[in-house]
Amino acid sequence: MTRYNPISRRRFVACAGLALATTGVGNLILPRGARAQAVSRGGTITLSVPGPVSELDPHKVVSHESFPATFHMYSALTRIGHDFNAEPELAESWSTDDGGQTWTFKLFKNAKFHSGRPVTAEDVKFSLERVLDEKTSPRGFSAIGPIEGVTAKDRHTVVIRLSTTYVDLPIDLGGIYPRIVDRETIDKIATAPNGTGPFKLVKWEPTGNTVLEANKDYHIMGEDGRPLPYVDTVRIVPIKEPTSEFAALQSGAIDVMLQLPFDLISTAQGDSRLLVDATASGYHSLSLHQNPSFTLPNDNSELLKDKRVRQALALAINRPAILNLAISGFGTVGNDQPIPPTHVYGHAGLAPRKRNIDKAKQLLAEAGVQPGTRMILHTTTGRPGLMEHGLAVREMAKAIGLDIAIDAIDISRYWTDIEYRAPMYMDNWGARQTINASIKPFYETGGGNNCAGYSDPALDVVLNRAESEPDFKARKDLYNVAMEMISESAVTIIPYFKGFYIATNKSIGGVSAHPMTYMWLDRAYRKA
Amino acid sequence: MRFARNGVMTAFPIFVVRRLAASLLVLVAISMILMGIIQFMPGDAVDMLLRGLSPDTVSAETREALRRDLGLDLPVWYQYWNWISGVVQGDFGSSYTFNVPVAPIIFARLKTSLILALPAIAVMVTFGIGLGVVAALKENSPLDASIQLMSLTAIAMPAFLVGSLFLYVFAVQLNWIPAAFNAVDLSRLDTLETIAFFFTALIFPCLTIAAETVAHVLRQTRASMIEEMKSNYVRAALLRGVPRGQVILGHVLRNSLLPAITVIAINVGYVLGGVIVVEFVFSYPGIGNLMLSAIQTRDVPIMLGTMFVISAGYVLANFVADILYSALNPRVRLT
Repeated sequence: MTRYNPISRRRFVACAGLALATTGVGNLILPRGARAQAVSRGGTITLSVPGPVSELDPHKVVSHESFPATFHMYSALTRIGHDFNAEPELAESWSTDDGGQTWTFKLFKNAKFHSGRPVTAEDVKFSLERVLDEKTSPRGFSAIGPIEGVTAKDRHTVVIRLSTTYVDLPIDLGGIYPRIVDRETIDKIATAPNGTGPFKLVKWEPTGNTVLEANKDYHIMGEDGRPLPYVDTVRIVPIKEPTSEFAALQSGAIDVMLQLPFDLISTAQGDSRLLVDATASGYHSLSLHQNPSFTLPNDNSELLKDKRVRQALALAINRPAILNLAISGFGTVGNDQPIPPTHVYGHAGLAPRKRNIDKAKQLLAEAGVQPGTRMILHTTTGRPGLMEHGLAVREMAKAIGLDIAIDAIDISRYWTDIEYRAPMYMDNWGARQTINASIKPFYETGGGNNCAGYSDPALDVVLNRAESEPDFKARKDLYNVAMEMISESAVTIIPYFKGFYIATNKSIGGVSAHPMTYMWLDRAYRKA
Repeated sequence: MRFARNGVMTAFPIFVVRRLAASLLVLVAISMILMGIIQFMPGDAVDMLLRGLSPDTVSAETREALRRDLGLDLPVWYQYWNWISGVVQGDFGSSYTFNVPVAPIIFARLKTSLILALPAIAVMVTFGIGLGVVAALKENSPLDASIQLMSLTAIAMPAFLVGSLFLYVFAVQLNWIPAAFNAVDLSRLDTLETIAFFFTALIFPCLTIAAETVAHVLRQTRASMIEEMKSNYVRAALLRGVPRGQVILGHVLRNSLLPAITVIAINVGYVLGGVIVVEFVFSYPGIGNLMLSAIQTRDVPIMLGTMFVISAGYVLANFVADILYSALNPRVRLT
C-alpha cells in the first residue's frame, strides 16, 4: 500500500520560485509572508465578492462568488493546497493498493455535521453519488475523476473504484463540487445547509450579505492546538463595482478583497494600509473554433480550420506587448498551451513563439489567404483584459494582411452565446486543480471545456495514456508531448498566463492568494 | 358636456377613476411587453446555469429536464398567465438563481430604494422649485447665471462620475462615509449609531441623484415662471396695484407648476427606478441593483418582477401628477 504524493510541497514551491525568477515575473510574488506571526482568536472578517452568494447547495453551485460560502460550510474529503497537492480535510489519510485504480479514504473519527451528527462513510458515498448524477450536479458530475463506484467499507472508511488508473483523484476530490452533505436533511439543503466545514450559516440574504459563524466542533486544529477557525464570524459582502470595492477596502469597511482587478494592483501595492498577495492562475486565450455554431456574414473565419492560418496568426502577435496592454504586465508570456512555466508539469523546453511577420505571411500565402481577408473576433469588456487583448490582436494582425473586426458582446450573454460557439473569440480561464483537468477537457475530442471544438485522435491517445500513467516522470513526458502538439496546433492562442491578486487590510493575517482563486478564511485572524 | 360651477367638483372622482383605470391598463400592457422582451432575449436560464461548459457536456435530456423544472417548456401565453395571476396575488414566482420566492426580495429592495429615493425626491422638489423661482425672479442677474451654471454642470456630469468623486473624497480620503453601504455590520450599531449611519451613508447617494433631478426641475420651473411673469394677466394685476408677492405666490407660481409637475413626475419615476448607476457606485442594495444582477444572471422572475415594480412606480408617479394637475387646473378634468 502506498500513500500517494507525487510532488512534494517543497519541491513545487522551489520549482515555482525558480520559474518565476527565470521568467522575470517581477510582479508575481510568492505568498504567505504573514504566517510567521502568532495567531490570535476572535473577531469578524469581512470579505468582499463581486456578486452575492447565490447558491447554498455545493453540488449545484454556479457562481464563483458562492464558493467562499460553500467551501467554508461544507468540507470535502481533501483540500487543494496552494501547491496543488491534496491536504486532509474530512479524510485524515488515503491510499491506493493497485497504483491508483482503487482508493481508500479514512475519515476523521471526530468529524461532525453542524447539527452534531457524526460524519460517516455512508454520507460520503451519498454525497459523491449525488455529484456523479448529472441531474443533481450538472456542473460537477464530470469534474471529479473517472469514478466507477463508491463503497462504505466501514463507518469511517470509504473505498472508491475508478474505471482507470488515476493518481490525481485525491486532488480532484478537493474541488468545487464533491463536498460532503447531510443525506438526512438533503431536502432542506437549498436554504438550511448542514455541512461539516469550519463555519456554519447564520444568515443568507439572497442578493445580499451572507454571515457565517465559527463551527466550534470543527475537527481540524489550529496552530494554538484548539479547533479552527480563528475568527468568530465571516461576513461575505457583495460589491459589484471594483472601484467601490477597493474604496471600501481602503477605508477599512472590508478586510479582504477576493480579487483585485489588474488596473488597481499598482495602487494597492502603493497603499501602506494594504497587503497584496499574488499567485499565477489561469490565462486568456484566443479560441479558434474548428466547428463553430454560427458564422456571421462577411466573416472568413472558416479559414482558421487550416493549421497554417492559425499558426500565422500566432506568429503575428507580439506576446510581451499583449501582456502589457491587456493585464498591465501582471503575468507571464505564454506559448499557446494551457500549462504555465511555474507549474510542476510546466514544459521548460517549449519556448513562446516569437513574432515573425515574414514566416506568418509565407504561411498565409501557402494557405491561399488573400491580403485584406476579413474575420470577426468576438470579445467583451465584461472581464478585464479581454477587450484590450482583442484590440491588440486586431492591430497586430494588420501586419500580415488580416482584417480582423471586433464584435464586442455584453458579458450578460457572452458565456451563453459566444463561448464554445463563435468561430473566433476571447476566453478567460482559471487554473485547474490537476494537470489532467488543465488539459484533457480542453483538448480531448468532445471534452467538457473544449473551447475550440478541437479533435486530434493522436492527441486523445496521448492524453488518455497520460491520465492513467502512475509514474511521475513518464507522465510528465507524455504531457510534454501533449503540450507540444497543442502549441503546434495553435487552436488556442495563449499569449500570456495571468497573475491572480488579492488585497487585505494589514490588520489581517493568514490569508493568501490561492492559484485556484479559492479563498480560505479558516486560518485567517485579526492581528493582535 | 357642460358642468355647473359645482359640477367641476363632482367630476373629480370620475376623473380619478378614469385615470386609475387607464393606469391599470398601462400596467397590463407593460406586463405583456416585459414578457415579450424576455422571450426575445437570447439564451435562457438553463444556458446560464450551464455557462462555462461545452454544450456537449450535459445531455439534451438533462437540459430538457432543467427547462421543465423552471417551466420554460410551457407556451409563452401559459408562462404569462402563470406569472401575471401570481403577481395579482403578490407572488412574483421563484428565483432561478436563488431558488427562493422573489416577492420578499423585491419588496425588501424596494423598501431600501425608497429610503434613498424619498429624501432625494424631497431635495429635488424643494431645491428644484425653490432655485427655479429664485432664478426666474432674478432673471439675467449674476445669481441667475450662477444657478444656471450649476444646473448645467449637474446635468452635464454623469451620476457615475459625481458618485465616484464623492466616494473618493468622503470615503477613501476623509473616511466620513462608508464606501459600500452593505459592508457595514448594522447589527453591531445601537439606535443612535444606526440613525447616524443612515444619515451619513445616504447623504451622498442622495445628493448624487438630486444633483441631476434638481437641475431638471429647476430649469423647467425657471422657464415657466419667466413665461408666466410676461403674461398679460400678471402685468394687469401688477398695474392694478396687487402686491408683487401675492401675484407671484397666488397666480404665477401656481400656473408655473403645471409643466414642472410633469418633469417632477418623470424624475420621481427615475428616482424610484433605483437610479441604477448610483446604487451600483455606492453598492446600495436597492431595486435597481437587483435588476442589474438579475439581467446578468438571466434570472427571469427577478427581472420581470423588478422591471414591473419600477414600471409601476413610473405609472404611479404619473397618476399622482395627473391628480395634482387636475387639482391645480380643474379644466384638465374635462379631457
